[in-house]
Amino acid sequence: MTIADLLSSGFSIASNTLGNITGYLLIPPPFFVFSFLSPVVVILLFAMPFGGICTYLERKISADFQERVGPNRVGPIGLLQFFADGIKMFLKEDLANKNADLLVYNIAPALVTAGSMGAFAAVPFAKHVMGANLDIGVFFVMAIGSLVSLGILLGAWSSENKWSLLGGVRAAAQIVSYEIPLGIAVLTVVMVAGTMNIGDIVQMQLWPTGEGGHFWFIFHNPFVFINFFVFFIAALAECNRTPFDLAEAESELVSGFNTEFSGMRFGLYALAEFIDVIMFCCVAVAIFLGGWNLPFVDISDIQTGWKILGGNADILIQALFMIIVFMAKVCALIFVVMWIRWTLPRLRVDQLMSLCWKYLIPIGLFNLLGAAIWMMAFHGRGLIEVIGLAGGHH
Amino acid sequence: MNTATLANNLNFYLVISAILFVLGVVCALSRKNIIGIFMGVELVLNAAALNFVAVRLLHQKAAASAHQDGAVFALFIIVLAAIEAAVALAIVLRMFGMKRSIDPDRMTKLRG
Amino acid sequence: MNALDIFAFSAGLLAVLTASLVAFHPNILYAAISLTFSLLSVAGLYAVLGADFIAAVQLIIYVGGIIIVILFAIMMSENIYRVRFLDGARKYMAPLVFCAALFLLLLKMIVAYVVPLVPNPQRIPLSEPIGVALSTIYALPFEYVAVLLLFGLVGAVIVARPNYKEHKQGGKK
Repeated sequence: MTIADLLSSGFSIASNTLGNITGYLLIPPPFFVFSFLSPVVVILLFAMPFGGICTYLERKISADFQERVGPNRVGPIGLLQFFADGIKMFLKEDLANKNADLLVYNIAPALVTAGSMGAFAAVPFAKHVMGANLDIGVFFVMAIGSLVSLGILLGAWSSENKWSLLGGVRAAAQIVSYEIPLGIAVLTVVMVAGTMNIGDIVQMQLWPTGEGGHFWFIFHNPFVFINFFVFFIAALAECNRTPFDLAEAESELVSGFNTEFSGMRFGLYALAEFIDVIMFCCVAVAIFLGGWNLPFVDISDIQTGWKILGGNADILIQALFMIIVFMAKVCALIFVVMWIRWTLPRLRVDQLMSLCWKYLIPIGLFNLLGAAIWMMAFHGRGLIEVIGLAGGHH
Repeated sequence: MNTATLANNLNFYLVISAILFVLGVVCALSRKNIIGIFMGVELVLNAAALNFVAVRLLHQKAAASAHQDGAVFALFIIVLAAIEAAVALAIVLRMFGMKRSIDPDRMTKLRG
Repeated sequence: MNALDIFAFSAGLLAVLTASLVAFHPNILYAAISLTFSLLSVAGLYAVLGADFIAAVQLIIYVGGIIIVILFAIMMSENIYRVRFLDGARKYMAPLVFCAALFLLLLKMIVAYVVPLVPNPQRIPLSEPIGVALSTIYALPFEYVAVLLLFGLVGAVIVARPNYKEHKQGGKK
């Protein structure tokens, strides 16, 4: 559906898919506005807590890689550490430079956070659980994600610090440059799938009983396979993660563009970086790795016949399983992202830019062309079908 | 769908695009900073693109055509504005490097 | 008055208010940020009109590209930000009079032309029709724009490059 449809059906509980599930739970009429706010619900209930948990996971996983213990004081195994961090950030004093441009200084973390979190509205967690089933799903995610570079640049400028400005300009140039191979890799999948709707792309990867008979799109083509790695590298660079974190590295520019930010403003920058990572991992899982689909099982076939509160509980159980599978894949990718952080050294800024423009973009374009030629030569069938293992109907 | 609402009223979009256009012209005429002039030009282009898309959806004869003319025109306008921004930045950087000022009144010579 | 109306009205109001800030605010950085929000609101208006593909393109290219370019230009021409009495000598009267006349002319045209309205405008998803149009009847402008992009990019790089004579040996590759 288009954004206009989403807005105009805002007060109708039956038209929004999340509203379908809550309708089964017999939510009384005054809560009908809930369906209009479902993207907001997704963001608040999922993105923010998971971002917080990610900060804890990062510390524990990095401790594992470095053979130390990590946080273990604040909860059973340090699990409440992110609560403690959040409380600390709330209670810190909000400092600013004397000459800092306060209006812009306050807007900048908000822009970065809005850019990272807003994209979650189009990410599908299960067949009926997504913020908004937009027809331009993947494109919407990239569009909202482009607000992050603006926030970083404005934050760097308004802190009246030469090194922040340098870090911020480098970060903005890096993010803007790496949007191109990201878009090329996404375009490869959109071309193979024929639609930009992420829910439809995930449903096409159901094997063997799905309508396209495709397995995960990463195995559709050798060209899409290589473009997955182009997407992954470009996503790492978009989120300013190592090995591309020159803009915020401790040993390089004090702390780059977030030197002068403290307290909740810095908390928002750090949270937005993790949420960016989570978002790109979610998009990568949804378009390349099959989303919520398991190889031989069609989860939407689960019929238990249980009833809950007078409504059918099947959809809830299916949604729960789909969410579990999806989150397992996303967590695996996030683990790989953190693994890369503590394994690879950092790239210099000219190496970073030359990687983007001289290597990733030609490779991405070549693979786009290769995928197009494959589609034409094999009439849209994937590698699995050409070998002969496909099931399903076309 | 309720058809007489504000969001389906073509005059609303035409008035907004007229206001944006006029404000863009004011910005381009009265700023003493070459980047400010460029921002005015961006507003003018946006107003025109908005006009195209609104007329395509809401004008009877335009909506009857088979192709999405208005949206394609808006796409071309956006892309051309991007090219223009790149060239404008290049010129501004060059001028700033030479004259150490971005006052358009001082950029009077074509050469150097 | 449904949600679409409220959104359309607020997007339009925000676009107009921030555009007036772009035109009249003395600080050029604040003008650039207001331009960002004005372009965001115009993207919202495109979404209300059902052209959400164009809204996403506007966000990526305008907000994520052109505004960054404008901010780079502002930040690198650093003199201007330091000068506090920036546009004190700006002369408003002539542009304002001219633009008031222009606006009245435009309003008169809008009011005088009774638009044959579409009775029930359908907002269909536009990505496929735009793709079809770009491949069939708009293929030639599409190729033109691609070649023009190439020329613009190469030209911008050539104009912005420093002269090699001005740098010492070993300064640049």
